Amino acid sequence: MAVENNPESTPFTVPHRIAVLSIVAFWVFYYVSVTLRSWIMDYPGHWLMLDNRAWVSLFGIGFTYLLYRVLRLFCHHTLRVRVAAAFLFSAVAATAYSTVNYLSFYVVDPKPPELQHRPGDPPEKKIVKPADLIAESALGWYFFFVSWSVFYLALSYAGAVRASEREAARLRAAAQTAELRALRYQVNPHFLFNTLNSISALVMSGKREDAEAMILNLSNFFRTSLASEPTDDVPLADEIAVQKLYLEIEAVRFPERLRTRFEIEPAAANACVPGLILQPLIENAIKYGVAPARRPVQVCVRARVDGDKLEVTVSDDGDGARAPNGTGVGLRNVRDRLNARFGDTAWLTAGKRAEGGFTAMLAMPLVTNGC
Amino acid sequence: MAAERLRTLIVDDEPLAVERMQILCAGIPEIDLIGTASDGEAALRLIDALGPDLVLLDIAMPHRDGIGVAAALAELAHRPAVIFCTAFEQHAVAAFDVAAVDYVLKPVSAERLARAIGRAREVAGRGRGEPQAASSRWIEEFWVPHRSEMVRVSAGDIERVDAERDYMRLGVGGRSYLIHQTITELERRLDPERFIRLHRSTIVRKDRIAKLRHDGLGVWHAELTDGDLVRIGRTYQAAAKAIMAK
Repeated sequence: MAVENNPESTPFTVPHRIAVLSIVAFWVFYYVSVTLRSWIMDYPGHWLMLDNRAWVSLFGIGFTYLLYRVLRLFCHHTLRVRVAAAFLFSAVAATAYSTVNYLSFYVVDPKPPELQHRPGDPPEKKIVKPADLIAESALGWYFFFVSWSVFYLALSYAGAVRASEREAARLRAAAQTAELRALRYQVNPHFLFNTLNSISALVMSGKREDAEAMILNLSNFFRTSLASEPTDDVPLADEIAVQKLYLEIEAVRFPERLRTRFEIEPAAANACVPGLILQPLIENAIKYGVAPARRPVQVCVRARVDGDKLEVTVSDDGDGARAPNGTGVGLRNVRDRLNARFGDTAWLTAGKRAEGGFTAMLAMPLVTNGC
Repeated sequence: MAAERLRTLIVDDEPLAVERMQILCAGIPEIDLIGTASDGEAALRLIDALGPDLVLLDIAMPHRDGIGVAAALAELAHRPAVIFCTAFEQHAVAAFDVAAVDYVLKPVSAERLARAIGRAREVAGRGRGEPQAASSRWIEEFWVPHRSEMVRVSAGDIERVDAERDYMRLGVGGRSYLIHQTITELERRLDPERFIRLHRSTIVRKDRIAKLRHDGLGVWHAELTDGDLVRIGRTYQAAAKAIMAK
């Protein structure tokens, strides 16, 4: 398993079936083209050679197959070694094949002497030793075997390139998942401890029902934010439900100051959004809008569908100062998550409102299935 | 003096937090609760009007936060003792600029609050005439997170400071504490009579240096009394040699 995951050790192999097919194809091509040539050029006695050539070609297939098995042994080596092996063992295969060729045409089933040489061949070449004949033919066949070997190497490298492309794509996906995980909502310790302090106060003053309600809200909020898969999308309605829990908790902390308002179009409620994508925006509205104020501040969440876009706006009418143009940590987190999930098709705009307060708007492609 | 009760003001912007503190204070006989405030400016007005002995001060608040309130108190002739009460220790560093008797984390237990108030009574018993830490240019004490509490570390007890990314590790008698602060800011605030910076990421107390060692090629190390070696950065070498020459 570990070997498979390591791209360095991926052997450059060609599937067995493809290798055998390429061998057969090479030899069929040879057989057909040579036969066609003999027929068109009308070599004398070419019909007599058809069966010989067929037998010899079968041997050729066998030798090429052996060459393939040998070259496969080198699949873990560098390209340099594999090329050297291809050239060396092609020579061996060519010699072996030429020997069989010689035996077939001159020894086992010799043709009539007048057919053994093509017309126009120099007459002095009529009487030659078998070794010379074999050597001469081997040289010609050497290039045939080398061409198959190089074809095989090319195939195996193409396979390796495809494999590493797949691996690169897998790594890209893994990196994106890791990025989304890193960007997931982190429990804000200030919120947690203040909430525990409020619950403690409710317990001390004997407000059991209020304490119980707050504990349940807190549990539900944390269960959702901790248990949810950070890369999963959720329906906007679920996301809004989580933010309502959060705001209910904050409303206990800021009973005089926090007002909330939700305006969610029915069409938008089923849209898919990255889980907890609104959390940093709502937290900012509390931190910069509500907490520093001494008067009631309204936090308003609106969602609507505009063509193929979903628009979600979180705004407040507080007067808190914050980083201009949405350069703060929370906004950057939202922007990064949108970018990781949707690329350039989603964006976040944020800034001060003319009538006071702050607004942040998310726009993302409308996706209604898959969450 | 000891029998006298501490006239106390609670300052917190969350009504429930004020209520909780009121309930806790009701169980502490030394406390005489005289008022509550829900933002920094209201707190300063009440302190001015009522002259409390002790302020239980939240840090994150609208209209001047707790740190700002404590800093403003430094100008008063009759300064109340301050106990910071906060939910999270991120403010601890800022809090060392203003003299605080104690620093408690919300939700604070009754026992821990009683200890803090005991400390406030001690300070009150010593009399308020004596100069307080904040009046000095140099930091006299730090509040550092330790387990689930804030503990006080006297600046003079710090043996060395090592930078670790955004944090400084304060070495104090075999223990160490992390605070969120830059080394340059810390160097600026530590008394240069007692501390010296030896490296981009190290400050040591001068009396911890046993000797300086030249290791050739202009590389110098300071050997500390516990045997540790600290490399001396080139820009700090002259200052280091100067103090050893004394």
